[in-house]
Amino acid sequence: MSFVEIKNVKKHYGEGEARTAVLTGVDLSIEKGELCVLLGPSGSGKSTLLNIIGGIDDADEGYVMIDSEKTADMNEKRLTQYRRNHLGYVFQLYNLIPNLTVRENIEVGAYLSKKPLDVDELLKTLGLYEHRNKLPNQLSGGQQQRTAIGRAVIKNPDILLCDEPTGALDYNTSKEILALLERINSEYGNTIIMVTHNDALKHMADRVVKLRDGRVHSNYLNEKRMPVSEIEW
Amino acid sequence: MKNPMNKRYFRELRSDLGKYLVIFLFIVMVVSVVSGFLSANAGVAESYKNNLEKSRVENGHLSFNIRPDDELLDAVASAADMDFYPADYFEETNDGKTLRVYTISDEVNIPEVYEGRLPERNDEIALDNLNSRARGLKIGDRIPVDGHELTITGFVVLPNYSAMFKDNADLMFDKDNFGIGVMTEEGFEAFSSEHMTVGYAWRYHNEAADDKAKRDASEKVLSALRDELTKENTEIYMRAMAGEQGLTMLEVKDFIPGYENKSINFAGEDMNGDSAAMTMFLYIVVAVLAFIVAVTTINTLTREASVIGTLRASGYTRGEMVRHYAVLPILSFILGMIVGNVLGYTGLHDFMMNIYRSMYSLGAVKTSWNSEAFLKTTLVPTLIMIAINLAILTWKLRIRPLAFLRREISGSKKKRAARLSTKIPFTWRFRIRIILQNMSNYVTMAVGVVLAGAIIIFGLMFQPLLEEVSKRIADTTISRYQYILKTPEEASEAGAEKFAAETLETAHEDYKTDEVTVYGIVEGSRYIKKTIPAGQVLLSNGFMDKYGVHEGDTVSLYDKYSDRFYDFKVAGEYPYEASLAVFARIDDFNETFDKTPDYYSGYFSDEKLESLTTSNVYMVADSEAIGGFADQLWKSFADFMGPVRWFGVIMFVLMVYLLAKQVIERNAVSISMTKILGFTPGEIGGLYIVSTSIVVIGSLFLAIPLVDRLLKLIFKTYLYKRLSGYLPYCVSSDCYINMVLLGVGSYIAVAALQLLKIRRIEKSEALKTIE
Repeated sequence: MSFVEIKNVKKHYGEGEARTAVLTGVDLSIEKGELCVLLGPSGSGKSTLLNIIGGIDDADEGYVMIDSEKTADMNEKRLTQYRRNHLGYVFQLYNLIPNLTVRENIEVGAYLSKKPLDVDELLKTLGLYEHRNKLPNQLSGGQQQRTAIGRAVIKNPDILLCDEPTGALDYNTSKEILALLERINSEYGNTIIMVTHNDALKHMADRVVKLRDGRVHSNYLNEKRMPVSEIEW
Repeated sequence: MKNPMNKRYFRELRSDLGKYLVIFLFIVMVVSVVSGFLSANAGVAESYKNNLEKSRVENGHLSFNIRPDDELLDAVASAADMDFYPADYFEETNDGKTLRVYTISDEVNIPEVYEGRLPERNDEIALDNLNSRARGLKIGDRIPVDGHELTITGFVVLPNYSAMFKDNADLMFDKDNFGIGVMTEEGFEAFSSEHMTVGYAWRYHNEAADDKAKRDASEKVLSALRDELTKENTEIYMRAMAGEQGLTMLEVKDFIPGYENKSINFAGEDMNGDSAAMTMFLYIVVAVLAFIVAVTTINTLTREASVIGTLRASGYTRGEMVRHYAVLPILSFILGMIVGNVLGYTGLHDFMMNIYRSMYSLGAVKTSWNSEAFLKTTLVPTLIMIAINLAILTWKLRIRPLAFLRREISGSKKKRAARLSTKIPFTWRFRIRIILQNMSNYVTMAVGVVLAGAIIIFGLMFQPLLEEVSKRIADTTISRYQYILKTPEEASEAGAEKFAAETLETAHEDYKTDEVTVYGIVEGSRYIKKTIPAGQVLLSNGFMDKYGVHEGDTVSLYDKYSDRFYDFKVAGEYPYEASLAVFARIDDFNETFDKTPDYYSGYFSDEKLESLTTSNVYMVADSEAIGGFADQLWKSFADFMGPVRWFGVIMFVLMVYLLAKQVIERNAVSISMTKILGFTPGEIGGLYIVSTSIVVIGSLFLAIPLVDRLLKLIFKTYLYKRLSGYLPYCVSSDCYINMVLLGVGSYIAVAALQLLKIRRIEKSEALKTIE
């Protein structure tokens, strides 16, 4: 059985005439340590699927099983524990705590883990060591996103969920962030599931999943994974 | 590892100092007043209680029209298991100021020396410490009393006169115009016996424990007294029938059991009632503050929704988030509690104590730690605050992380925008949208404004109310003088009109007992200008209003001396404000009370009745003296009501400031954007501040009928049942105008601060990312 098993997941929003089916039956398996890229146009259901995997949204039908445990069987408290112990989140908007420094924002993630990574080391890995005492509003967008990644990674989660992590960043900064994710994946061995609408990023993935109209349009293993530095778009 | 989120607290406090300062100041203000009041109250109540025991307060007193035989008193004392002690007194009235003089007793109602010493010589007197202070008298001063010059040797506290009620039927004590003096027995005897009231106080051998036992014990006294009076008067009647001249029937003129004596109990009941009312007031204010704080916290949650969503998605529990957002408001609240208590127990304690001292004659008061007051002013409000805030935070944070990430924190499905006609000018649509967006802020604000309005009105209403009462008493006075005679006697003055009168009591279990004067009015009266139908009565308007009596009802009144109930069918209302009264035709009166057809007991007159024998006049009620009580009542309240009014205003300002600030902060990005678009701060103020102004001014106007109803309810369900006598409910329209003016005036200051805040919002605010 795969580390992440997704079976026939369906999801809709709205009722009556406003009813919109977002996921119409998604089946997907992701192995431990894989860097999986979820691709698809706007409205294809990428973020919804990511949120259901992360346990912050429910499926109408079907289930998500992580390490042989169904998220649908968990109550709210258990789900929180599950996220606390196994998941890290990175969003397009960084959602940092404005009155905490870079270091403290990362410590917010460390606090949740029984075996967090070393903060200083991670700050160095993230290239934020010199900025560790700055507040978020003193940082560039890329630095802020690196801080957000640091907050997610510090607890050394089994799965790192990234929702358009470069959506608000320029080309160079985006490459910097993606390279960081790539490095984290190889150094710490976390499973990374990344939602993006940037088709070029399929080259950096172990697994490429394309969604269209709420279904898996294609799902394949990338035989020739490329380093981010060589990917252009 | 310590939660790194804890590091936010100090920074959060610094960045939102205004909000936490307001919470802190608000609670310091409320708690210092209430704890100061309760600690003073507890100290004073303790002193009052100790004084009752230590000074052997009477269990009751009575007076007679003539001195009874010792055998009669002994028989009553033996039957009722008690002892009588002589308590004769005489009164001296000068310029409307009455001094009632007793002898010094060491057996009952023992005077406690507050300052100076007790009189030792015949020409010395000690006065109560309250009236003497009100009159500006000093030890060593010489005062004229009934033709004698007496030297004041000291000021005393008497357990039976902690509140200066001249008459037990008076609505309010009169410390400015009524005082007590004590003299040596020899000194006292030098005064004319003609003016002397033959009085006795009594104490039971075994003190009755509860109310029922007290009532039963006094019933026993009354019953024994009735039996002995019947025997005595039967004998007098027989002797009169046998031709003996100059005999007078023995009558009890005044029978007041201790538990009914306002001079003894009013202060104690007032303290208990004040304490309960103050505590309730504190809880209401804290509950309102807790909601205000919760609203501000909800605004913080809205501002930080995406952060909360991220943290929750990362595994932070709801409990951790609730605690995080509850800590600062609760800490500032608790700190306010501590500082408030310290201030209450130090500075305000003396201030509050002086208010009590200015109203009641009290002995030495020790400030003692009062754990009950502390519990009431600290623990319970803290629990209210924590419970309300935790409940609202838990409820708000129940929504899932995704909803926070999407900033959908209202918890309900997406609402459609309310449709607003395009005929409404744009700026007004904008303002309406602001009001709709900030509805929870504004609803809380409206509730707070109504509450503050009620406090302001309460602080404003009594002076005009009492002026109105004085005016009404003057307007509805029956005659300039009312003479009550010991025995019927013809007056030769043309203006004198006979009446008969009896004093009965109400017997309504929910109300304190009221004394009701039943008048028998002659037909074609010049003074009672309304026809009284045969077999029916008119009730004074106060009676009708206080007890909710209607035309056609039957009222039942009790005569404690004969243990009988009398029923009266009500034909209507008679405008008479001075006391609760029943007006019957004199023939009906005499029949009802088993009097002879030609019986009468006094005169109405607009002129002094010089023809009457002075010693036969039991009492003369002067309409000016009757009206004087309202001034006294106001003086008693004045010390307290001034601060109450300003307390309401400060509460109003702090609350409106806090909530208006939230509206501006919540819309900082929009305000910044409108600046970028080219709106001036004045124009933006015209949108955001005018919206808040509409709510504040609207709430002030809404407060008028609501406060009116609230106060009417307080009068009907609380004051009327707690106070004997009648105080009409009427709030002058000036009070409401003043309330609105005070509200608007203080709001202008808040609005100026808001405008300053709008000016400070930078254009870059809208260009920043959500953080």
